[in-house]
Amino acid sequence: MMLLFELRAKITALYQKYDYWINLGLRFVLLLFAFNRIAKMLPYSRGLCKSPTIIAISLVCAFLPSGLTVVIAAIYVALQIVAAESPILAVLVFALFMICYCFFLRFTPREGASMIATPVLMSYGIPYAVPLLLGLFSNLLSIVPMCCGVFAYYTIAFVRENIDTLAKYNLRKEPQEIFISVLDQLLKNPSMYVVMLILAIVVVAVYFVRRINMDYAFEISIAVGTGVMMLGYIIGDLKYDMGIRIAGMVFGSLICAGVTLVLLFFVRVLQYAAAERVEFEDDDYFYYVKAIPKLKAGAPKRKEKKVIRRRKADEDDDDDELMEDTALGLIDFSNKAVEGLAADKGRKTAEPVPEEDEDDEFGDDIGELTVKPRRYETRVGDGADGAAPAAKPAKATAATAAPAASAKAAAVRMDEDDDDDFDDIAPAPKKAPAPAKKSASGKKAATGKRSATGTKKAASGKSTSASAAPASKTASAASAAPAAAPKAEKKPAPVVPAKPATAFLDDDDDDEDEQVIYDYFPDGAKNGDVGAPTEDEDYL
Amino acid sequence: MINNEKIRLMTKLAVYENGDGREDMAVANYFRSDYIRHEILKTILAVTFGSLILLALVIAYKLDFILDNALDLNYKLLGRQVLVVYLILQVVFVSITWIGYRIYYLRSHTRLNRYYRLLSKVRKIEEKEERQKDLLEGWGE
Repeated sequence: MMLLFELRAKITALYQKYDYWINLGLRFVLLLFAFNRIAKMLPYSRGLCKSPTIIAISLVCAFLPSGLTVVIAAIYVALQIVAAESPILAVLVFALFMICYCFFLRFTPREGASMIATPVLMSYGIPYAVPLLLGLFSNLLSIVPMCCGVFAYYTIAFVRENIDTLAKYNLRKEPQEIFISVLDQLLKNPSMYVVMLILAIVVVAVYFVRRINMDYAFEISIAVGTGVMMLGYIIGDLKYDMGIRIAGMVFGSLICAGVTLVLLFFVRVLQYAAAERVEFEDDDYFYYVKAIPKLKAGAPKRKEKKVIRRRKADEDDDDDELMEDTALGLIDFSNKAVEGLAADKGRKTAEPVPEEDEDDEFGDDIGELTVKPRRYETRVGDGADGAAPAAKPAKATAATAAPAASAKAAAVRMDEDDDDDFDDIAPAPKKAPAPAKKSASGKKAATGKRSATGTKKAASGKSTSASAAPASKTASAASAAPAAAPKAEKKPAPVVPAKPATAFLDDDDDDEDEQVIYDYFPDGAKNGDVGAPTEDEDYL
Repeated sequence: MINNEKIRLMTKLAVYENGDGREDMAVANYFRSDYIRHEILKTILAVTFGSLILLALVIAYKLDFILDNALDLNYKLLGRQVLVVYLILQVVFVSITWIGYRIYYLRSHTRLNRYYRLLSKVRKIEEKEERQKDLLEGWGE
């Protein structure tokens, strides 16, 4: 297994490096197979069957859109039939392909590859992989080109089997007989419709099973699809006598399922592996960026999410922060000055407007490859959600981050009046007391934790000492809370969005406060139960 | 000095511009109704072309019958039947087009909105850099 992982890593690295050329090469190889197969099935024109011709056509088509490639393939088939001295048949076949194109492929212009791949694989007797792959990696619309591909295969097979008979007709006298004969035999072939139906059902089954939110959904969907396919072929053969060898079909289906599993192993990674090369410029620089997605194998890690709240600050505020940003290194602000500035800012601060992390909206494919099960995702209430959704994150946060629980939970905790502001977050004590020993803090510490993490009574400014505690002292803030809380009761502290590093990270020189919550819980964690130490759950 | 955050955002914007952004921006040139009409027009043309081929095949298939009964055929009724089939095909495919491209337009619009939001974020970063620059220059003097 390790060898397989290493191989996958190597292939991924290779793909990241040469993704454009590899994609082009794969298309070229597929088209080479397709045209070669058509040439083998309809070897009537010597010129068109020569290898250089096939290679040239495949090479040209590799650069063209897949819809156009289908048209070129249809023309190629028609020319082969013309070479067999059956121009009427050629026109008929081309007309049928054009009907397919006009009615169906117009709506799925990007799925031309599946229309080409289907007849190629069917000609090799292994169409079983097509619906599995389409169900896994495409959508339900791919059924349309796949069925067109089945039709194309049966058309070409019919022409190959009957070309000698059809060529015997005196074309000038009996063109209509050819039409009737061909259309009758071709369109009244139940095997074709049965195969279309079976493959369509398999695509639907695989598609829906793999979308179920469960472990190994992809692998299970392959198994289900293979089972449905085998069952369908057996029933179809019994009903319509399709001439299928059951043992061969079962063996082929299992082989195709195995191949699909192997492809799944690689493709799921390669889907995210493509590097992006972009160029842009600003006033000062030209940027030539190659963005390579991060690939993470193994167990999913808990991910910290920054929830950014932008303050509605006026220009003066921005200038103040610029002062901080730029001049802190140059001017030695005294503690009082900084404190005053912070307090001043706090008074001016209007209702913070929560903002989603928009950066990731486009960046899913070029950012970290992390699994985000939606049902576990928690978001601290934004303007639309109000305070209601905040309850869960508060619980989760407190539960997940045992040492820094008090500070984080206080940060997550919303105010009592269910609006979006943070007017219950009081300033940190300027210097948090030294960490108390566990034995010394005892029960009182636990009560302190409770008050700090957001029981309702303690929430509104009474026990917010921990909320603004500096990062390094967060752990101790909980134990120190009993001492701090009474003070806070007597004199409610001014509202200052201070910067305890665990609760608010604002070290990136911008005018935003960042709050850390956890938005991903490990497998098995449901409804906020993330397997945190039980002592932390006490005060949730 | 290179601002990493800005590069990150600009890279995402550029990746979008090179990918879905091209189509989305082309789509954004139209109002939704105009875009859907444009696609419906293309569908009507494609279905018309396909229907003509289909009609030709049907005529070729039934040529014997048509020639034998050329004088007795009720061409008015035949024409009406053909027209009805054609209209049914058009209605079906136009409906599919209308629904499909309406959804596509909305999704494209949503992506583009996100793009512009990120763009404004980059602009803000640039404005901040400008102010920072001015401030530093002011101190330098």
